[in-house]
Amino acid sequence: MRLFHIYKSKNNFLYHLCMKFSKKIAVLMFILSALVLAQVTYSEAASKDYVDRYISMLSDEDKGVRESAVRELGNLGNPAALKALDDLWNEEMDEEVVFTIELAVNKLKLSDVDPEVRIHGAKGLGEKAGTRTVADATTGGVEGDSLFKQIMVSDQEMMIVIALLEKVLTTEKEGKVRNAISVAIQKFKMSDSDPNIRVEAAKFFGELADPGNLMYLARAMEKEQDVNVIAVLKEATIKMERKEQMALTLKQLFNGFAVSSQYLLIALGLAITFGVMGVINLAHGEFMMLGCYVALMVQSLFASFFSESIFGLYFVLALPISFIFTALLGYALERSVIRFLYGRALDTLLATWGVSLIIQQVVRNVFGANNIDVPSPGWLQGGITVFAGLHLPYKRLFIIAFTAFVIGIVYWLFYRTRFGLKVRAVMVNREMSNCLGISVPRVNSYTFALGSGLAGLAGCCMSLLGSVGPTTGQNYIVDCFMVVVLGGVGKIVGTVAGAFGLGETNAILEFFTTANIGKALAFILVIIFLRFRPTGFSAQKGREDVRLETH
Amino acid sequence: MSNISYKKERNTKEWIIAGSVLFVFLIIIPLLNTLPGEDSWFRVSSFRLNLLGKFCCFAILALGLNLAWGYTGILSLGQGVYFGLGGYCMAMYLILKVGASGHYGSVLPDFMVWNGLTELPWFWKPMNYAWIAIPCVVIVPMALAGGFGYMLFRSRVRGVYFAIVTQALSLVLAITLVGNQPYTGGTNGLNDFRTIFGLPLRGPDLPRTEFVLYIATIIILFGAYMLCRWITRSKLGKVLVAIRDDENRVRFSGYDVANFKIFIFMVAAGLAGLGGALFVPQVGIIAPANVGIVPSIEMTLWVAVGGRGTLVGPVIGALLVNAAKSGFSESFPTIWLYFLGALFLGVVVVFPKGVIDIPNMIKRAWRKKSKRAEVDVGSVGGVEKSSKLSGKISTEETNVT
Repeated sequence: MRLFHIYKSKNNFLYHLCMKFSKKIAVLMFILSALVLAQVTYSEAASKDYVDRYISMLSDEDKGVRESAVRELGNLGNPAALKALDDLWNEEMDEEVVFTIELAVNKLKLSDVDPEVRIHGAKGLGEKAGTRTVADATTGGVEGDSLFKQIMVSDQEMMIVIALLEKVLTTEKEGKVRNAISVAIQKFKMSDSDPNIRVEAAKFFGELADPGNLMYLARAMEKEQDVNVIAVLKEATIKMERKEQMALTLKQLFNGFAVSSQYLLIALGLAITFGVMGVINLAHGEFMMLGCYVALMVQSLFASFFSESIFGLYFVLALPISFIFTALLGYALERSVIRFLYGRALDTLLATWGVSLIIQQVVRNVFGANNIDVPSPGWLQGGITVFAGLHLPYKRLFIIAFTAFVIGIVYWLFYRTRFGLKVRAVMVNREMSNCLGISVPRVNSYTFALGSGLAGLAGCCMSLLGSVGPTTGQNYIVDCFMVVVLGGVGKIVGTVAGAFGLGETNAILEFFTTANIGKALAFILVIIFLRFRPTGFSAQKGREDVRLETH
Repeated sequence: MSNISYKKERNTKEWIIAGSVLFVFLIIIPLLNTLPGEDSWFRVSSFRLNLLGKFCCFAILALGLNLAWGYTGILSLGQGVYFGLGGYCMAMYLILKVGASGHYGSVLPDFMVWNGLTELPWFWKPMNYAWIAIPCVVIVPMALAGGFGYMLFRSRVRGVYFAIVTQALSLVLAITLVGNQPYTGGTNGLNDFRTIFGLPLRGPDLPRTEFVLYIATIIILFGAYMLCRWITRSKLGKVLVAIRDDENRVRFSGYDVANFKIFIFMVAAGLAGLGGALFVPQVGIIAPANVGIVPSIEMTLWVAVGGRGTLVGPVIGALLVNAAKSGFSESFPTIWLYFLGALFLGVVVVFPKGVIDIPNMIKRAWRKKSKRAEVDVGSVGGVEKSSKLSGKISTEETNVT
């Protein structure tokens, strides 16, 4: 405290001194800093100098010179060398030099600004660790064919790499990069001559339990001689395999879930037209396909009229447009054809098949017969990695969420609005509803339009998953009818159950067999199921027999 | 309404028509194929004759489908399954007859060789013998139809549900065929046959074989027609129609509806298999494209166009639609699908009873016109109005039920 006061007080000697020479001190400071700066630039220039020199050495005829130049470039850590190394990598014939180049490139990548590149670099370095055979390296060439002689990291090089990785690890802040770096370090440590260090590394892998390292551990196990290390490695492998199994199962379940929600989204409209109106709309698939094409057209409009930045928004706009477009088309179809066919369910089937053929041919004439790719918006690309081996794409997650949303809307529409009440009344008893003043024809048209619009909406979503062609709809139609039949007619819940029943069965069977056989088996199971529950999971008791009577 | 008159009904007019049609198909057309010179206007080329033979195979199938749909009200959208099973049995028999003279000099069919099979799969082994393969053409489809029908008809799956499930079955068969290339030839199907019962299926003598096959097809078609005629005119036929019109009432009358349905569905399947078996040597290939959903739905169109619930209708429908198809796809391939679509729509909306009903429609229209003229002469405006109204009500009633 006292000292502080002394310093602060005006009659302090130091203070006076500072005040007196303040200008001179400033000048001095300036000179000093200039000197430091010059020193830095000089050393940078020197390093640049080195880089240039090494780069010029890259074209040397002697392989040893090239190799050492590459190594030095890698250790200098100057990203300027990346391009030269890349060029050399493309031309270089000698395997060993290529190996060194790859090492150097990955080292340089570690100091990149982009975390993805840094992860890439760390992983690349880690892979290099595996190529090492045994601690004293001379046997590599002897045991193998000379053509496939093992190239490996020398002990010295290994120390350098580990040191570099550890150094980077201390400054790295990004979690993912840190993980990648520590994995790489441990991989190198697996080839350490000290068994204790190897045990530590093996334990590390066991705790990490990343199935991606399974191959690496298997290789490590092959060349391992120490009993302790082998035991730990085995344990780690078992852990990993268990994790991999789990990831695979979860992935399959997720895929089944995603496929189910696709089914559900498409079949929902079908369930409405079929269940509520007793109309079998085989053109439903074509409405869906038109939804895909609407998405395609909105997208190309965006591409030609709007700037790149809002291109991703096209999808948000395409959804309502596809709904409205196909709903109008469905309305027109109902007014022109379907309304003459109520009570003749099988005839609606034939008529709508005719409509579907015509729509297909129109699309073929307008857009061509080939499948067209619909690039999906940027904000739906990529996905979430829950843990290694389980990657959930945003597109599928979006479709699942969107399906849930649509189900909610339809539920609300059917059970919470006046329109839904009318629809349900018509469904239960057509004549009675007519007597009570419900305009049955109007309800029918609107219901059919709704069903068709939902098909378009589904199509718009399906365009995320791949290419679009004139027969896209036809590929889905049988699956969706099976969903509706399996679910039972007349209840949304039934359709949901049907979709998930079929989707998950399909996914599980596909897992054990092939895609084709899985699908065939799933259908056969559905047929067998219908033998015991002819009306599906849930069915409205009562008058549906009359509506669906065959004539 | 002499309902029991089906027993001894002799309709000479019908016999004359049937006889003359048979005469034309069995004598005149083959004669036109052989007698006139190559460039003669009357000449029916071997190509056309073969085409006609192919259509007649479809007609056999249509007859069977009509028994199920037109008479019993079971719409099967999977008739291609039975057609395909019959066809694949026949094709496998023919392809095994090729024997070791194939490309690879193996006893196995070529596609099995390059798919790495070393031995004939057990389920194809019986097809080595004609006396098993030929009956299988009918028995295999009938067995499948029997099993399928037993499962679904017993649990009273019917109408639209049944149609959709049969559609799924045809998809199942198609993807199974495509997915098991080593056993079924995959998408390419079975082709490249050499001989049938000693007659060549390739080379310069092919037209002669096709001629024989054509005659055989016509005779079998006639046989199938007679079978259908016999079934529909029997007491069984009456029960079938009753099932179509009111299944529950038939059930309450003490009939076991499911058995009737299973039986007729099996007959339809057998006829489809027969058609498929005759189709194979005449066309030279059977592939999943012949059995999938699209061809199966087209088959129902043949029946619908011709006229459901009539005996001759399906035959006419099958011939007409396929002739139109080959005509259109030869000259304007793109228009064909528009036409096909319009045909589906038209046959349902405009003339639901098929082309066979067109003369009656004209007659009815004529009668109506003359009646209206009478009403006009009577100059009572109200009568017309009320009759119109009652007509409207009655149509609505039929729509509702």
